[in-house]
Amino acid sequence: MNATALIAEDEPLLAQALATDLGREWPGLKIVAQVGDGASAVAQALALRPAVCFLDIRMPGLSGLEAAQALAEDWPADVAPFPLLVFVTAYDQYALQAFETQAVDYLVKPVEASRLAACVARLQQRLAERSPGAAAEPVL
Amino acid sequence: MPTDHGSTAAPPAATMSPYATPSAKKFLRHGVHVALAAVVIAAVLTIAQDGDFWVKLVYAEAISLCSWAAIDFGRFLFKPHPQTGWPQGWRAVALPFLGCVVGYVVGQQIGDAVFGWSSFSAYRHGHRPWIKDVLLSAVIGFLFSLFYYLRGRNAFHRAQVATSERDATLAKLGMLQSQLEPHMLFNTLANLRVLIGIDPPRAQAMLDRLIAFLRATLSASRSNLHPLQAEFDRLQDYLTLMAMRMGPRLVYSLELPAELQALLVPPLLLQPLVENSIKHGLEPKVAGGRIDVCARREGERLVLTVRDTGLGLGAGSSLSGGFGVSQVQERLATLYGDAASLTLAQVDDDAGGTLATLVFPTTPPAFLAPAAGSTSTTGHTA
Repeated sequence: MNATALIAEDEPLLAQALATDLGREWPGLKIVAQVGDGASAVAQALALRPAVCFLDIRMPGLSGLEAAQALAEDWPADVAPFPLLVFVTAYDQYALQAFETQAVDYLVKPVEASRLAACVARLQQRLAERSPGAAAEPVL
Repeated sequence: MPTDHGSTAAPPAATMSPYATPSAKKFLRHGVHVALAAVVIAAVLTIAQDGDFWVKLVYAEAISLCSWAAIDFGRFLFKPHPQTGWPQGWRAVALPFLGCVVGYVVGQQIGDAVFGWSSFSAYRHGHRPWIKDVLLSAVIGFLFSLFYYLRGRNAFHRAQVATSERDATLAKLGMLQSQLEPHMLFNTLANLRVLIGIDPPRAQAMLDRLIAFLRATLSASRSNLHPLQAEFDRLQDYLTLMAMRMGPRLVYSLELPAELQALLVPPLLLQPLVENSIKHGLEPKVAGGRIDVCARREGERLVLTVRDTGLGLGAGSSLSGGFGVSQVQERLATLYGDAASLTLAQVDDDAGGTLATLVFPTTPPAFLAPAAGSTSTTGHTA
């Protein structure tokens, strides 16, 4: 399945690692943007409209949760479906808030390969449900 | 490692003597002691003076219990000092004296009522030397009061020592806990994990830094003094790890003149300041910035500065109220009193940010003087 994604992570090694791991688990996923802070995440997501957003929570400026909220407020719902959100963080205390943003998943750093695989499976299933029969089509 | 959990250390509650507040249980206990003592007094008097033991017992109990009641309840009329449970100043002496007089008079009347005679008429007619009875009463009353006063003061001092010891233990635990903050560890380990895959030699170097940092944390929480070089080594380990995580967003420099390297200082005075700079100044700033730590000597004082080009003090975060900063201030006050200071100031040049200045005497406090071999040498041991 092909899809686009945005990664928001302020620690460059971890961003690089997530991109690499995703490349292994989901070859059809294209990382269209990699940013280091919440405000850039919102800007890039609105501009590029990826299907999936991987958000770190503790970032300079806007946090991942705040970015998700800003994105929800400004998202043009009639033009494109709201991206699937996955929070990736070392802190487990934000799980409840993340749930309230209707995130698809909440990954705790460091992310194990099997846990990432489960997340990928969940994302692929959600994307497939969204447009049945679109699994073979490229999603912009 | 983040030390600020949004909570400031609460000032310790003043210790009070357990006798400073009225308590039914304590009154009862004192009363029983006095009643038992009266039995002993009556027995001694019977042996010494001849006469009926039971008569003496009734008078002894009546006088003793009345005196005790007057004193033990009376001390709360006089507003007892919280540390001893006993009033201060002239009242301290007036209380037992008055209490004994009142107790003697009332008790005597009670005894008289029981036996149906009048002691006062006996005094008036010279049958009994009243001065001897009064003196006896007064001396016994005074001795009892002294005993209870000393016991109250002793209890207060023991409570104070226990509280101090507990506070010291809590402070050490707090320091250790703040240094081994789990999120810092997990984030660092996550980064290390990545490095193992893409740059193994660098991963090993980083792992060595983490090991040295953890080892230094443990020994710092145990020792009272270590060389300034050890403190700077530790900062270097910490900043190297943070630079691995923050990438280009963190640049740092550490400046320690050779002549100051061996100077003995209390551990972990600089660490919380550096952590604050990163946590409140640089991490939340999108572009990041730099930290510069310098040491210099000014006469008999050591001046340590931590300068960051972060968001600065007006950024809305409670930098001055952070746990780390207030803890450093408390430790400085405990160790050096007025001779030490910690100031935080906004920097007004193009780069902005915050400057923390730590000043304290070069000679360590006398009570921390190291015994042979007790200072820690936090080197990069294999």
